[in-house]
Amino acid sequence: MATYPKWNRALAEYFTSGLPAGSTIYLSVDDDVLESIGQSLGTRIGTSWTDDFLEAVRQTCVASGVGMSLEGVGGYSDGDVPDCIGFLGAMVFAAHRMIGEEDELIGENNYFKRFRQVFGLTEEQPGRPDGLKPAGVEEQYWRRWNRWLASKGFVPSAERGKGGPATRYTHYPLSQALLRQGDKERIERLFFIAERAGTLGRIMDGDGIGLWFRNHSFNSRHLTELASEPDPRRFNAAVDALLELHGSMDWSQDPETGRSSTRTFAQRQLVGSLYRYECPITGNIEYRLYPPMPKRSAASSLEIFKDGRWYVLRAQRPGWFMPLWEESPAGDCRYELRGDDRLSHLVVPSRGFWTLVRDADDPSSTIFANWRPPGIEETFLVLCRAEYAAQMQRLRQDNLLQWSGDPFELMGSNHGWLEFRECMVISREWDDLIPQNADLVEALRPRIGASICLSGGLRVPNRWAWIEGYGPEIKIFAFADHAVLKVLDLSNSESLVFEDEVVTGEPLVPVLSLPQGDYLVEAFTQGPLAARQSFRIVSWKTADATQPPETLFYTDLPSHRLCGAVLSECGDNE
Amino acid sequence: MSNPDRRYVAVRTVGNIPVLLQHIRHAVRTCRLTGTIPVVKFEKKVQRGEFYVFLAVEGVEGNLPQDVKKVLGLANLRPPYHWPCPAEQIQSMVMRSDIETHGLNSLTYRPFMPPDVGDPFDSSIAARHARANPNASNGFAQLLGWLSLAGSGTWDIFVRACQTLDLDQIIAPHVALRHLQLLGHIEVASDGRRWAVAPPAIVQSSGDHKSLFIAGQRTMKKVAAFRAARVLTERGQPNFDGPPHIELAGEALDWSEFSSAGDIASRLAEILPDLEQWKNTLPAIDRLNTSNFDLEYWTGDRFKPCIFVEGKQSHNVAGMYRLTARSGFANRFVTFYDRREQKWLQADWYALRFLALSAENAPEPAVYSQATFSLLIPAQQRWPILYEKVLVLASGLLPSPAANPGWLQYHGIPLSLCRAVGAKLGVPIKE
Repeated sequence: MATYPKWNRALAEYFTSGLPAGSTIYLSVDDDVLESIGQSLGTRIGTSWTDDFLEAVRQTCVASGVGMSLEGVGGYSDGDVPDCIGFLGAMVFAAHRMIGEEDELIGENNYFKRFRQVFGLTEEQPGRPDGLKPAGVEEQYWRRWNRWLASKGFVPSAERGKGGPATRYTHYPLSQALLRQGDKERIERLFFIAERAGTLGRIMDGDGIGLWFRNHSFNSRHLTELASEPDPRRFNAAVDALLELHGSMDWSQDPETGRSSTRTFAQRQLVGSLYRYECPITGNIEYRLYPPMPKRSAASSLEIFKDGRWYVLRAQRPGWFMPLWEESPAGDCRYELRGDDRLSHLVVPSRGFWTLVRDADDPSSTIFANWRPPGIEETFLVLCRAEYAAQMQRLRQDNLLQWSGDPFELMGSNHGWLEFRECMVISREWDDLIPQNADLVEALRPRIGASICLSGGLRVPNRWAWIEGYGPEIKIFAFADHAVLKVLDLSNSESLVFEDEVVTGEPLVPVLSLPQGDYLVEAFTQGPLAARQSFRIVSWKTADATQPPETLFYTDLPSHRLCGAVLSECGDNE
Repeated sequence: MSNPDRRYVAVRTVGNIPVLLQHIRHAVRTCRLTGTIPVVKFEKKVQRGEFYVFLAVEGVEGNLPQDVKKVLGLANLRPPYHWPCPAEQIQSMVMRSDIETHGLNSLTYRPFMPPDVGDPFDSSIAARHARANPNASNGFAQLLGWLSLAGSGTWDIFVRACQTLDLDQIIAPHVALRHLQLLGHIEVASDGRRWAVAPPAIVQSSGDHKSLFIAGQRTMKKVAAFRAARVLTERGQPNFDGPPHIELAGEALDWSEFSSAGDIASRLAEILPDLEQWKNTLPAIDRLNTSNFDLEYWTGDRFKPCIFVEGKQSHNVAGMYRLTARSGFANRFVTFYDRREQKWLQADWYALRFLALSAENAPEPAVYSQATFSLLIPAQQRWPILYEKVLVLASGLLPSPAANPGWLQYHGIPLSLCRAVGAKLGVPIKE
């Protein structure tokens, strides 16, 4: 059996590995997640890794089977990892068990009925168990989790509910449960039917799955709401979960008839992307295959097979491997992977278009990739087949989209593809549009109310951290003229350090003087939360560097290479 | 898909559509109703001077709100107001004519304008903007502290860091980049567009004293710890053009993370290739079409426009060229044309200039001073960075302007080392 500290550490790694800084994290613990994590934890007890996890949690968090005792989860391990992640994960697991129950019906009593089952509490009483009273005592642990995420450069998503006391704190675990067990079973069956009907491919990416999810009618109210979720962070997290489910489908048997009592762990596909490079001297444009790191799995040495050779995938930046060979934007390719039992292939689905943004760390370069969806007022590149040109022109005529110059026709093997450069969505009035190419329109349609831009100052690249005294300039970009901006100090019980209505597009200067700590910026436009971003201020006196440096360049000499003042013979292991 | 919460108020009016749109936009913003009235539509086909205007109103049921009426009034749109009209009804009101739609909270289109961060190798522009400034030392210490935390990054980021620390007011960022390379603190990719901090190392000087100094990654936290333990001595670089020179002056608590580089300058002097061998290792620009560029040739003190005939080797001259793109993304860059190999070579500016000089004449001798234990090199004949780095790593000190104008002075170098490196470049050393 794996101990509670082992599960705690494994959950922390699982939910943050392979993700670039700035990603929104959901602690979405369910049977599949526990099964996936469990593979690396040795020998289990019980029939499943879920049993093993729950036993470990009960041993640490439950006092004599009747009440909760959270003394064992109040500390930190491995430096700064909060010990409460296992406990919080079990709270979310209880929310995942609420098959068929709808959020607004889940009061404290309903939720804690499941909670008692998960934690093995024998006493049949309604409401909160002993040790978890009064309501909200667990909030400190959620805040600890949020702060830890922010300190690693991620954006937390767990938050208090807006409703009354009955749902205020249960909203924390419920906000983290995306696809519940029943939802997954429904969707597996729908995937299977759609694939058989030819309306869904076996190779899909986030855009394709997102479009399918939005346009499908579900019987479940939870799924219907999730499919029309206005918060793009939550919608994208749901699409990621669907993509994972899709990637682990066994297409040879109907899930309805072939499902075993416990889900067996399936291999996943990695969905590749494109990396555009234009030689600044010759103007030659290359599109290369760009492999993402597998999300939620510790870095492993992956290799990819092409033309009779295995190539090692080398890290380029958090969340991404180095670009590989030139690849057609049309996609529809599949390469074998080895090195991680959980991954079988790298695939690129068939594509008619791509939306690519520039490198935030090197905006002057000619490099574009789909690192993130474009923000408001951010220009991007649309690469599409010639048949999408009419739709692009229509969007421009309708004052929805603008770009610079004429579409650029690619030559050679990419003939038939066009680049629309410096595209920018200039209006959010897309509702009345009758699309010719619904997939392109859905991909370009703005879904966010605001973007938070942190720029300037002395930033530590790839970590959302700035040096004290050289903090970021904060700007809100939105379609509205004004937005309410809040800055919360996560290091200090999420206390409010700034709240005011600000003019969008203009820098907010006062936060430049923020002291060392973890902060969360929130933007509200006309009421609801429109954007959220965390960042960290570090001090010269306390900031530590990665040892040794992760990236090294060398000057090559005959039989030697030089790095700074250190000379090594070629072939030496550094 | 139409928005179910959206209804339209329709008004028949006359006038000029762009002017009317301006009035409506102003009125909506004045009343701060961009959330309630997000869009306006115009009937494009004007009949007898009249046309319909439709204002979308969201989240309102019942009668037309007073504040929406106020907007209509401010925009000179007179009653009767047809309210509420669903989206489908608009189509029937305007027959088959087209509708022109404008978002009232539309953004102004602004294509990205890349910041002009210049060429990391272009040393043809002024290197220093002000006199030697001791404050630059502190700025460089912070810059190196930040580079050490960041680990690696782009040229763009480097320039912005120099600007944030106000170092760019004292020294050009491309010079700061070169100085940090010479001192062994960072390495730069062959195209100059990326840098990475080098691992921390203890270096032995090549002079008689065999003192130890540190190079590579060094955070402010680490320096403060060593300072507190009194295990180092610090002094500013000559001219304060780099981070302070730090010598070890005692036993530190923990040097384990530092590599021992030894007397790296002497070792490099042994293994460096000669100029011709080194030239053959330089990256060449692939598939360069010179007809897309305006070319200038380096005459020894400036660039002059020239004609380059593609494919006619006999017409073209070896040397340093500056190419400026006639259109497109690329802007301007400097390269060396190797006539024999018909290749365009990339390297740092001083290296290209040195190759150009060497292609025409034998380099001028450098002068060694036993009295000051230093080497003097004509500034117009500065060595390629790989060779200049040997001179700098011999002492851990950057060169300074010599008393004799137009010469650079490299400190704390034994004569034998100067001769060894000079021989590789074909530069005689005079005593």
